[in-house]
Amino acid sequence: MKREIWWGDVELELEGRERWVVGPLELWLARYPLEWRVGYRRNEDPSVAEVIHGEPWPEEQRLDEDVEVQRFAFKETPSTLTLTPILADRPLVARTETPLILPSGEEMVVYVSTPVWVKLGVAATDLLEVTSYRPSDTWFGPTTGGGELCYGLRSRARVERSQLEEHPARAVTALTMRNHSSKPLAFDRLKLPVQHLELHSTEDFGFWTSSLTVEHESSEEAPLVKVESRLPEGLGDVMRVSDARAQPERGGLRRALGALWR
Amino acid sequence: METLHMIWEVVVDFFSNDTVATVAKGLLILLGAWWVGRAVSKGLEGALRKKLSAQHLMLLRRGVFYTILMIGLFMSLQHIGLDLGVLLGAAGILTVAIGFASQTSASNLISGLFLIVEQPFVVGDTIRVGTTTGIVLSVDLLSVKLRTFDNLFVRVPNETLVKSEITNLSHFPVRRYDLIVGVAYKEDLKKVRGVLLKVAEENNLVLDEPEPLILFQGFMDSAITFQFSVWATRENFPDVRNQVPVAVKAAFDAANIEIPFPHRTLYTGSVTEPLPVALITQHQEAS
Repeated sequence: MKREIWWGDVELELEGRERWVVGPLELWLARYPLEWRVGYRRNEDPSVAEVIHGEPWPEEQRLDEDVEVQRFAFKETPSTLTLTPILADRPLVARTETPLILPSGEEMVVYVSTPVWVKLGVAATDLLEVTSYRPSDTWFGPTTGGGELCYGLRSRARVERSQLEEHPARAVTALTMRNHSSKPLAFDRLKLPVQHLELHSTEDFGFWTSSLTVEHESSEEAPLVKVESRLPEGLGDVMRVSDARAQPERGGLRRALGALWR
Repeated sequence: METLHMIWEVVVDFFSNDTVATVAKGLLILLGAWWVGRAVSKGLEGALRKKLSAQHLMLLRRGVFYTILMIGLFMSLQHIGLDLGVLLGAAGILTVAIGFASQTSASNLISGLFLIVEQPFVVGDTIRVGTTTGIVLSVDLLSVKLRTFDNLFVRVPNETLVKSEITNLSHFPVRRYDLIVGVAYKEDLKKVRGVLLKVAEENNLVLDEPEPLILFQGFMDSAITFQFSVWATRENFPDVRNQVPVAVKAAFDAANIEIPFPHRTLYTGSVTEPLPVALITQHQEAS
């Protein structure tokens, strides 16, 4: 599928109004002399993959009641609003539908697809972040006494790239898992530290994030998770769309309760 | 004019008197100490605001202020010429006497120190003591002050807190909400489980993990009851508490699952034969 660029600068004259659709997310943008108004609504069906660029939205047409509206006041509204795709603001826990087992000494690549957030900003100021799909909250930690609040998703955890489905508002992360221990590695959930990943747009395959490598040394230690900016081959021309929200500690190497925590 | 001059002369004479001058100086020292104490304690509080908790900041501010004030008081008394030795001696005896008379206060004071060291809660936490639930406003020498959710001010003696069970609702980041729900005996229990799990899945604030629990409670008088437990973060707990029962009711209605009213079955005797019932209609009565 050819890359469809829906992000970038939106130029609106005063009293200009436009409707944008990115997958399940609908956006209504309106510019007035002293305020920008943004309305958004998510479709309950996350598989909706429509993209509409700047469809004019007539003044007489009122927004439905379920559309959330936010108003941003300015001394003088700038004429350009920028739409930037970014990744989630919390780690994502992808639960596989069926548990995956990696035998000892083996290596595999798992592909997980996560929703893309849309950041709206003017000049250098960020106004709002909206997600195309709001995942459920989930808790990740050894006990309920401590841990981290994450997003939870069900994932098919594909191992074959050809089975991946493209979507304008989803990003694929390639996880290379290596089992150096003497026992098989079984997991049914993967915590993706998406706040440390960069988001790229590929010519042939939509959004793709930085890759992750998980090295499992032994069952006594937590696996080592490493972020790599190199993407898999065969994606065509790659364009970086947004930086990581936060840099990982100690230059890329992080210990994370990535694979097993039960 | 003459009167004013006379009054002025009297005032000057008064302050020229040695004793009065000394006492005035003593008072000035005390005032100075009070002012310095305030400035230093506030300054310290501002400087350490980011490093200490609200409770510790308050203790530090009060501690520093009263220490400086005490020093000022002693300096002032010394300047006036009072023999501090006698004063301290008298204070010692007085303390013992007061101590015996106020055992509860002493107990509260010591309990307060234990609470500060042990820290079962901090200022800002929500705690439950007995039947009172509220937000901790301050941990003072003798008591802890709470503000209940309906905006009432409650003073709980420290002794009570050390002696009895305190529940800290803000300690852990996630909480479980338990909903007891009963379904009619005729219902398919697997279907009920499915409907309940779907309600949890559809609510984004309900955590995926820890997973929602459905615990069978019993074959009760009128219904089969389950405990439906879902987890949420502390902040989202009130919303989840309100949304989940509403969603459960809606889901049950949509799936035709009955939440029964209390039932009573009437028996005529040891063998259950139908009760004889006669229907009288208006039509018959008229005829």
